[in-house]
Amino acid sequence: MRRRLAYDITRTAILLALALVLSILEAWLVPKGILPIPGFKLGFANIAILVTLYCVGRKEALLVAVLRSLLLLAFGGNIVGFVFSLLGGIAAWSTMCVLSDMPHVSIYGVSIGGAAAHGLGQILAALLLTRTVYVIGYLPYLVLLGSAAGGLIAYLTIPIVKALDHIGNEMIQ
Amino acid sequence: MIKTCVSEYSSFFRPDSPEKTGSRAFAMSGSFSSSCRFPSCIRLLAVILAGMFLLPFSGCTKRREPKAELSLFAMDTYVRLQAEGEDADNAVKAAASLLSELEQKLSRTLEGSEVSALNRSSKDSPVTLSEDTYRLLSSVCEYAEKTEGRFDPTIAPLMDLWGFGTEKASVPDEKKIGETLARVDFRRIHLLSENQAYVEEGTQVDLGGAAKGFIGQLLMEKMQSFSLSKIILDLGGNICVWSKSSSLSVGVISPLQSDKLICICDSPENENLFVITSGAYERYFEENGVKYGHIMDTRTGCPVVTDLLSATIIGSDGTSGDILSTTLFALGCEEAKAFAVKEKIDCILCAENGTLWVSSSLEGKVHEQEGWTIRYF
Amino acid sequence: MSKRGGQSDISDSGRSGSAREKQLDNSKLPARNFSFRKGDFWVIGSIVLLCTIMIAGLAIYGQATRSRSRYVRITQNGRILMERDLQEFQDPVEFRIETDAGHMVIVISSEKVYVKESDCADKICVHAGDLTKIGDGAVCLPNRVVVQIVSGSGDAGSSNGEVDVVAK
Repeated sequence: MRRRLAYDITRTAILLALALVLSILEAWLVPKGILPIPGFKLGFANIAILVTLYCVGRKEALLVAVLRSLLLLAFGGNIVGFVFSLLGGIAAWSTMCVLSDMPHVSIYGVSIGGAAAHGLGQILAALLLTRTVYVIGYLPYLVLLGSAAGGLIAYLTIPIVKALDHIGNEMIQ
Repeated sequence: MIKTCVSEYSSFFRPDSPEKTGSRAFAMSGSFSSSCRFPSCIRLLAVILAGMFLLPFSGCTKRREPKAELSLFAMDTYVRLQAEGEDADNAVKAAASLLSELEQKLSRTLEGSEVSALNRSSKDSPVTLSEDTYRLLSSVCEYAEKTEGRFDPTIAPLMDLWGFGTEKASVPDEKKIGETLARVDFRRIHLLSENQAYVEEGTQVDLGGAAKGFIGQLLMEKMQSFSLSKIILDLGGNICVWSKSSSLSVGVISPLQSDKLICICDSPENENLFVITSGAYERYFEENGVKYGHIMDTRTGCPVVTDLLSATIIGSDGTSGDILSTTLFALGCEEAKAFAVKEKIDCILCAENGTLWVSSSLEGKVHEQEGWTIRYF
Repeated sequence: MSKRGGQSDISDSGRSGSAREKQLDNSKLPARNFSFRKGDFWVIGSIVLLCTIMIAGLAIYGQATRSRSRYVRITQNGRILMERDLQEFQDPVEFRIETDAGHMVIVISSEKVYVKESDCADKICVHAGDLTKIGDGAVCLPNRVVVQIVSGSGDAGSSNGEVDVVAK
């Protein structure tokens, strides 16, 4: 039991680092100006949160989502980006938790639902910050775009989950 | 989608036997449903959070309530009365008639008003004022005392001398200013018992500096006796709002650009909020390239020289708000801050360098607009 | 999903002694469904459906607000002198009003309305500058003239997303 705990903490930490790297990579790779409002992200860091959810646990996934936002803020992010990523992350996490627990929903459904919720959370953040209702106009496009990205994220996540399961099994034996 | 799964969840949560409660029971929960793989608290949290993100988007079906709006010229200004709720129409009409009634009493320019009668009074023949007028006059004198005369209700002759509000606005000569200034002193107003009062020879009382706030307050009281959900009063830019169950946002105009705001204030629910701004950006005249604002310095008899662009009072009392916004503006930034702290006034001081000095008690309730930065004191 | 569900109720991985428990305990983790399933189509379907509805709704709403044209309303002593759609003023028009205090000149074009001249003393109406949005207004007290931009329905309330009222 104790070894399992240490193992989980280590994996959570590594996945958190992965989440951070992915956030930064996303900022580099996705050209600025494609998404309508500064601060919006498609949520590639969801890969790390999804892996955490599948391989470590729900609590840890939430931890990764929240700490990622906090650390990004600490590493020279701005408060606007923080609110966006925090709300997006929490929305994605809660949706993925619910979906992953439903029968007949595969990792694709979980990831796509999470990505859609990520968009929803970000619009909510924009509503809170800009206090204008017009941002809702971006919601469907952001959700659709994000959902497509969600499918891709699921595809990328599967080998990671498989590999981690494999490592875990080997370790126990 | 999420809605359906919430209902599914509620059936999952029912433990199969009543004694199976607590965390242990949930650790074993896999036995009654193949889907329950997670500790329940986390699952519950997830469902609640997912639901919360949908909430703001569902609350769009609000019943529209009757609205009423009335605009009129009164108190030498443009007044807009807006109300929302069952009785909106009656409330607005009642407020309008109260407004003209009060104007009849408080205006200096109307011959038959109580203030005109007061200005004609003398020690031997004091006038009896109505309850409202006497109340306003005594609180005006009280604030004049508090501000050590920086706010003075007897400033009117000086305003006339400078010609504010007329075609012939110009800089008068110093000797005349000195002569007029001698008659400007609130101590020359004498309040007697039984609502009686008189002024000394040559002194003119003008309650204009406080009347709009005072009237706003009375109008508010009047309208609140009707069944309403929202009231917005705009007495020539002096704002008073009240909303039963929602917050209203009140913008404060930029002294530099009349189509921009410096900040937005949120009103508390079910409480009166007065937002009253003073500045010299709207009423002024220019002579030889110098702008002369309409707010007078009672010490020099000239328009005030201040490092503030505007001063805004946020509070639940209209009378004091109207008086003090003018005073704070005249005091200048540093003195105004000290005065506001001493008198526990919530205010927004708009300084020339683009800084908004905001009372720390207003933290979180005031949101700056582009080009302005808030600093709390 | 249900493959692993029935096998073990024991969430504690401490009992890893028996051969069957030599697997990593994943009973607390989501099922390893790595290929498309029925539920996925429901998820995708509902997202697409909701987005389509929303896009359609926004399009209809946008159409409705765009047709909410701006009117200029000029009143004197509470009497409406004119109320016309700004679209009618493709070329700027100077609107002259004679009042007790003198005269006023108001310039109306399809983009904006402003008070150009006024015989009043303080010129507050001229200082008010360009009126562009629904809810904007210029008031001239001596002339008792109010120039407002209102919506087609005559609503002079402030425009969407802006504040409820402005303190001046």
